[in-house]
Amino acid sequence: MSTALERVMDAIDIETYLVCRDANEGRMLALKLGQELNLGDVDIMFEEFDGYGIRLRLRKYVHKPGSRYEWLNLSSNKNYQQGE
Amino acid sequence: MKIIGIVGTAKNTGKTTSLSYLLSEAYQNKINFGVTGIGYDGEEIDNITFLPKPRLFFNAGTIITTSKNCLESTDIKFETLVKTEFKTALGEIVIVRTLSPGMVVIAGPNKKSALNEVISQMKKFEVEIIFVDGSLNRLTPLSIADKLIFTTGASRNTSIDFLVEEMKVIQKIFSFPKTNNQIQSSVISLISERGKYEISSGSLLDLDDVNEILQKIQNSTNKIFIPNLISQKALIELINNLFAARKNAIELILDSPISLLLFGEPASTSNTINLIDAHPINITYLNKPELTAVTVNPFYPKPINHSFKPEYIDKNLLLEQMSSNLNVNVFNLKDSGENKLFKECIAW
Amino acid sequence: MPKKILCVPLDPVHDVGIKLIKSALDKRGHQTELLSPDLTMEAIVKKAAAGNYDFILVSRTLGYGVAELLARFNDLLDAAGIREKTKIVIGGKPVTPELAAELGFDKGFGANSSTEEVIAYIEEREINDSSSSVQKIKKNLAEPYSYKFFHSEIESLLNSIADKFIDWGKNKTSPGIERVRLREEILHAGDKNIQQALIKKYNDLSDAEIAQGNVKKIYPKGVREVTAEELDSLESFLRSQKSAGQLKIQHSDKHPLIFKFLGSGCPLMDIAHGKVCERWGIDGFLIINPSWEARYEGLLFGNLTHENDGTITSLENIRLIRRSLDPSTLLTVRAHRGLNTPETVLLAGKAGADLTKINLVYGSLGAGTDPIRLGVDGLEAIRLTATYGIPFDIPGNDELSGVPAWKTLAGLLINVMVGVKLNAKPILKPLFCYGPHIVLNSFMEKNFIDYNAAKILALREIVDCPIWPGEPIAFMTQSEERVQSANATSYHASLAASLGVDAITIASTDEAYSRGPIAITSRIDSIRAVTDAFRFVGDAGFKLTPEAEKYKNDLIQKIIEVLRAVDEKDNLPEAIYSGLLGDQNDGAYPGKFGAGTVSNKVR
Repeated sequence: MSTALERVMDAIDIETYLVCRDANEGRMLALKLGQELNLGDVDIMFEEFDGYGIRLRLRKYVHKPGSRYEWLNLSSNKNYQQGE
Repeated sequence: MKIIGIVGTAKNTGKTTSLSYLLSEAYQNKINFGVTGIGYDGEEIDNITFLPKPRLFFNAGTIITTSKNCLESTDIKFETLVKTEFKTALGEIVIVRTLSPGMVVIAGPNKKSALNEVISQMKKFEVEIIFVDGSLNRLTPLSIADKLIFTTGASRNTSIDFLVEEMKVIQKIFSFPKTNNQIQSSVISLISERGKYEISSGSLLDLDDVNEILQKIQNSTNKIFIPNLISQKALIELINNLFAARKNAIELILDSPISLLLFGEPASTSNTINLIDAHPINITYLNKPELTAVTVNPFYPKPINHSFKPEYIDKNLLLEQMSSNLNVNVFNLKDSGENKLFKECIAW
Repeated sequence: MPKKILCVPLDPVHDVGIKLIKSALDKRGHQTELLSPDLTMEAIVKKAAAGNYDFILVSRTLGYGVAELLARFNDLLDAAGIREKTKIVIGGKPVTPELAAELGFDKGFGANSSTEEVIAYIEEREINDSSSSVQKIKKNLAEPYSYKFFHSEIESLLNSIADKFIDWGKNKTSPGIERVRLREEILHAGDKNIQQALIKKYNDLSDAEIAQGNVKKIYPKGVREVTAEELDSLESFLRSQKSAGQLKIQHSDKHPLIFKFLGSGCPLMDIAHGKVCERWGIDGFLIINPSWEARYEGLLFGNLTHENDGTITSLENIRLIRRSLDPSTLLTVRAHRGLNTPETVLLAGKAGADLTKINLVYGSLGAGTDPIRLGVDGLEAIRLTATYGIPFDIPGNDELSGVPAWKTLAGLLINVMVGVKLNAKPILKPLFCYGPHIVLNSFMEKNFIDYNAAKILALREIVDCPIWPGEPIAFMTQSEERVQSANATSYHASLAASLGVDAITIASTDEAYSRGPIAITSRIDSIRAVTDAFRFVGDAGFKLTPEAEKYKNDLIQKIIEVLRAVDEKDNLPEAIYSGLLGDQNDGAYPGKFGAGTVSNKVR
């Protein structure tokens, strides 16, 4: 069975807002969030601290150009609902 | 009273770690000391890589110079001793005494003259040592220090050969002596037994400056004093032209070793030092901080997908190569060595 | 005194910023020089040393290794003795004060800095560190308006309808009105015992569910008290966190004020959302209460939180929200739903709210309250808005059930005339929506502009009154897809700007999502979308097609017909019952809450 992650065409974006003391803490929390969500190292695409928290757009690339795209094998893969 | 400065060859080479070891040793040895910086350091996260960074911890009763903004964000209690005239991007610089223990971010004056002034103010509070925290790879303000600790490591370059070569050049630059002359001039001076000629500029920057020296220099001139900045290219040009027609030796008096360190890249700096060595030139300095120790740090922020993650080069090889190639003590602070470092620093 | 400034683009690609700054400085009479971006560090230092500059402005974006390069640049300038008289300034997108200090600069300007800030620094004018902030001044929406009617037939019809209605309500009272009296007494009672006795009386006049909450603290499902600890934490949160660089949504002074709903259920969450939205430029908020509040006689006391939609209308909750928001932020409290309309206005007034929301017609047809009860309560409520000097806004949301726009607008106008006669300050809130009646009649088949615009133009031809499209704008054009939703809001907002209305209420990009509360990211999404839309439209506008004029004339004609029919009835509630302002075919039903509770005043 293919994982759902394999079907991500290229990237996962996380748009969120973290309450924090300052922009630095916000960035640290953003990276920590990626770890806590088991995404590993995420990029901070956009960040703006507004005094109360930080508005974020985080990105994790799953398939970059040149990677092996697991989703290319879609036709040979079973529907995920069918299981192993 | 001694001034000990921490100089990094790059970001993330371990300035703050070195300083925090020195501070804790100084506390244990019950030494009265003060701390200032030349920019801003000690923040929780690196401003560029966003990776967590060590911060500085202070006991009560420490004299600290930092900016007002940095004090606003700290929980420690303090009394303000001096409000200086200097303003930085983080606000006014103040000298305080801590009244309770805690973390403080150090943000000191950002230029040499201001650091000098701040240190003379700090001296009034009976400190035995003043530690000056470096900022990034900044050097110039630290020329007024008595002792310098260089921090280098993978963050500067992941090639151990590169790092060793660079430190060898730095050590060489620090090997030139302090001048016996008392010179006060803000411009380049050509000195002979009979008197001195002054050049319009304080820095040796380009061909115009070189030509002016070549026109005014006499055979009897035996000292050249360059108070400000030297461009490597201009210095090479001067040496090549001057000694094309000249045999007698000359003392080249510079402000401090930092004048040569500012050349930047170690390989070309090394070539220039070799060029100096090949001619009858005696380099001396007006101010001569001592190169006390080198600390090495195998850590570097590895760029991944437009962000960074912590990575390390071979720490044993780094320490071994550095130690065997240098005459000064080399430490990896993460692997003991902190109290040796401290002893090196206070051994005067 | 003019300053001598050297502009140094260290970045060959991104030198637009420094060129803009240079041109602004030139206009202020300063002497500037712009270096070409390909000079060596030494050449720049040479130039700097020779020029005797007051300031050197450096522009550079940052990447790995650039920090060291910039630090070295400062070292060279310091070693060359230039820093003794020259201040070195860095500008670039990611520059913060901390970064500028770390690199050794005297000052740093980042992405949020304005040209004005840079100039103020150069001219050594004292400015606030967060000076991109706009100092907000609270606006009185009603102030510039005369409430003069331009259309004589409509004016005389409305006069007659309003007079009859006010006369009808003269000798009537309701438990809602009695509770207002009690509440006023409770608030003014000095003696604790008297106060307790009054509270008992109040609870006797309330439904059991409310009384039980107020007496035994057994609250309706999902309601609990906010703890003292939570309130303390809120205080310290608000003390430690301060808006960073207040943003402005409007690009021109003529652009409308922007309102958003609050009403997550929890006043603490509302405040957190409110503070964040304030920073992104929101001018005001509408507090939305739980729908079940409408069914009950009486209101709960205290700081209460609620797990579901709608924040509980209590004096303490409104006060807490009001106090936590910036003094310049406008706050409106929804009053017209249910059995506590006049009391809600009283609480709004006492808690320092700026506006309240009343629609005598929609409150019955769309929100379930008996027309007679809302008629009596509404008259009292509107009087109270005049007493407390707070304007009331009249949302035309009955259109969403399927009521034709002209009936809704006729209803709004009746409210306006009643308000004017009771010395209140009404505000018209026609909808910018893709309502069911509009869909069925294809009024918006060609575009979303003409019909929305026609409503505004029609109202403007009838009366000189503030107009605040809502509620929110773009209703029924939005989906759960955030880009679509943000766009829909921003397009409607630019239409509002181009029509020159006074205010708008905007949705969040998750407004169409019905299974949970609004999230802060979605709020900021739509605010950013509108900010960009306003920047885009500026003082330009939309070109209406000739259809708009036809729609407008048709609306006015049909408003007249509706008003004529209403005027034939003895009083407004009777007209509502008979469906003149919206009937079953329109999806509108007269409400039942509070039926049979109106009585004649004693004596």
